[in-house]
Amino acid sequence: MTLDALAPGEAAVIVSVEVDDRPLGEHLAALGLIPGTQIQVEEHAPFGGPRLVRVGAARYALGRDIAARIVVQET
Amino acid sequence: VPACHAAIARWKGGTGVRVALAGNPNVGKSSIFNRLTGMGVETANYPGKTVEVQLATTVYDGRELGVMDLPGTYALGGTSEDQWVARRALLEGGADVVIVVVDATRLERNLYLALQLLDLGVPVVIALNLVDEAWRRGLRVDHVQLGRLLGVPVVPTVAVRGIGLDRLVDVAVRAATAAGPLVSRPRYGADVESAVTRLAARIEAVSTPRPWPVPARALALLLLEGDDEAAAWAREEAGVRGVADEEAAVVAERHGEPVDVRIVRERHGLAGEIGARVKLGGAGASTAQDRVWRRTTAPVTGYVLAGLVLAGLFATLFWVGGFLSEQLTALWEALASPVVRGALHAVLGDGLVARVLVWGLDGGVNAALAVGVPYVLVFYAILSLLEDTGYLNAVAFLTDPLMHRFGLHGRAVIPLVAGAGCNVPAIMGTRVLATTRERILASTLVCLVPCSARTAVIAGAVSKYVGWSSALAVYGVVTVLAIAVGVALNRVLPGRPVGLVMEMFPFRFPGLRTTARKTWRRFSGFVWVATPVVLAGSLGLGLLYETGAIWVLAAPLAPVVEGWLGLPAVAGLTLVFAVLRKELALQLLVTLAVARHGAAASALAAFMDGGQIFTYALVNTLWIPCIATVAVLARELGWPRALGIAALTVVLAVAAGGVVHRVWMVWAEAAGPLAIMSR
Repeated sequence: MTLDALAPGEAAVIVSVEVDDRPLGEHLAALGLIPGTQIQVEEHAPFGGPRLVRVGAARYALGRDIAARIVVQET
Repeated sequence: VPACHAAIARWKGGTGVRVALAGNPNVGKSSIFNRLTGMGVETANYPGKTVEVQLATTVYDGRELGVMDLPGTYALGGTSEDQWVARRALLEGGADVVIVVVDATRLERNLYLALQLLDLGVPVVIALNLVDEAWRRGLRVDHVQLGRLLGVPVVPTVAVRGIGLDRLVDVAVRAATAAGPLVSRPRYGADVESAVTRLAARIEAVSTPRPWPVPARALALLLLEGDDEAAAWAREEAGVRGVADEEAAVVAERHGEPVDVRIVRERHGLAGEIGARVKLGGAGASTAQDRVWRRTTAPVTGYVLAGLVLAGLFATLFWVGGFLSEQLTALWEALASPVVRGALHAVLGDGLVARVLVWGLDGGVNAALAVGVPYVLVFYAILSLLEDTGYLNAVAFLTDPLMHRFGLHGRAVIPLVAGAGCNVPAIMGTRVLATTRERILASTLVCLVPCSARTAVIAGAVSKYVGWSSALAVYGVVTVLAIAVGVALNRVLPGRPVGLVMEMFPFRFPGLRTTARKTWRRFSGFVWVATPVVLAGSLGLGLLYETGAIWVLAAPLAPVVEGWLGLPAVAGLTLVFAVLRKELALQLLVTLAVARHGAAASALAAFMDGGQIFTYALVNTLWIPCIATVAVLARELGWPRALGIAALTVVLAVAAGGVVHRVWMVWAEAAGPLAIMSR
């Protein structure tokens, strides 16, 4: 499944990041969004908006299109 | 290797110790920079890049220091603009020491950048910032142990209050002037280390100068990470490339993932391990403040609050900006204008030159005052405050789905709302967007947002003489057109929309000093760019008017203005003059109308009917925002794009005006008696 399908409160481990745009891929990697990373969904913005996720001590807003390209395994 | 940036070269030439400040966004880097430096700050821009580097030479605690504030970044790769600028400025500036500002509450993620800087082989000192916030969360960081693990000095700081900065500078200067360079090298897994060591040995054997003055180990790591600039250097070095490919294949085979991914993973792993070993106490509990702050992104409360804040921003720009604008204009007209006019006429007599100069030095300065100080300064003050508290990111989070329809993401909403006050700062505000594509899209949309000056015309003409529902209809037409343009441009412009990836910060009290200086820096940027263009534009228009050339030039406009738009010819001329200041359109229209048709024309309704007034206000609203806006567009996006956007607005205005004119005619005929009654 992909990250955008997780409901608020659910946690998962990133399996792969299917991004072909290199700057974006590198940016996500620098933030720690790489395979194996634990990730928790905290909030969904309404109207198909971004996902607010927690990675370690940091919180990120990820657009739904980007969340849809992050393959995760629920934990 | 291209020539060093001139401002950076000058900074490099300074006599003191050169310190560069690096760090993630929003960790207090600017607070440290502002505390260390005085007023003499220079901003360096690489051509075609919008991310800036701040440079200053200062005397702190009796020591001369060169301080460079790099853009806030999460890493130092070469592909994204901010990271490219940070790395380039750092390596070009030849800093003696890099102070890496890290957020104690998000230590692991922040250490990633610190490790990357250590990998580059530059001397590093860590400023462990926000230790007060960490304490409030029950989190303590053993800074001595952190220093031991990283092999570099660590100084705890609270930058907004200036705590720890004396010691930080002391330690940094000592690190910079130490006999041997204080360089520590992080150690990764055995396979990566062996690959790096073997590749570095091969690089040592090459005589071609390296792209930057970095150790072979640093270049080896960059090559394995797939860095573009390092790869470009290695293109001529078949031997180096051979070893790099070989080693990359070995690591990939052993770990089942590409070597660049492996290095990123091991660097994150190392950062996490170090973080875990130096953190004492809890995992960073959330505070009551966090829980309140979280409501800013919650569905219901979030929208209510965002609506209030955006309305507040709009209202402040509209009312406070408008009030200041009126006061400044009145003040200029009462005090400075007579002096300027008097002096010009006294020296140059009553001739053409004097009259043209009055346009520029009186009218032009007045125009700059009417826009610059009131709207731009007020907007920047609010924007900086929203930015520094972290609230801007909450608004971006909530509005992202809406902005998506225009190929933008949530961060574009602030410029669009600000555009209703004044387009100029709004376009400068599009800098929060990362790609040129987004900035073109957002800037074009901003130009179609009726600013306060255009609103004044809509209110003063349509609302006053035709009715408030017609005034609202002008906004309706403009909104529909703006949406259509946004959706169409998103389809037409090459490239893809970029998704939102944004860190969300806990609420932070803004350092007023930092916020004030940020506001001032942005404001002075506007003043230096827009003022000359407004003055030159005023002089040019003055010359056309005073020589009578304007009437000759206006003649070809007549078919469009009279035939297509159905407006009186003089109205077309005032639309042209309105590029100086949009609200001028109405004043000029009345002035010219009186000159041509006599005093009875002072009421607009005496010589234009409802449909004409509506068309007039619509065209004035849509076409070329104003000369200051075009100047800022040119600075932000370059002249070709600025003129392209201006041309688009002209086409849009003429097309929409003509259509509205015809629709109104048909409607007026059909509703005949009713339309006459309403007049």
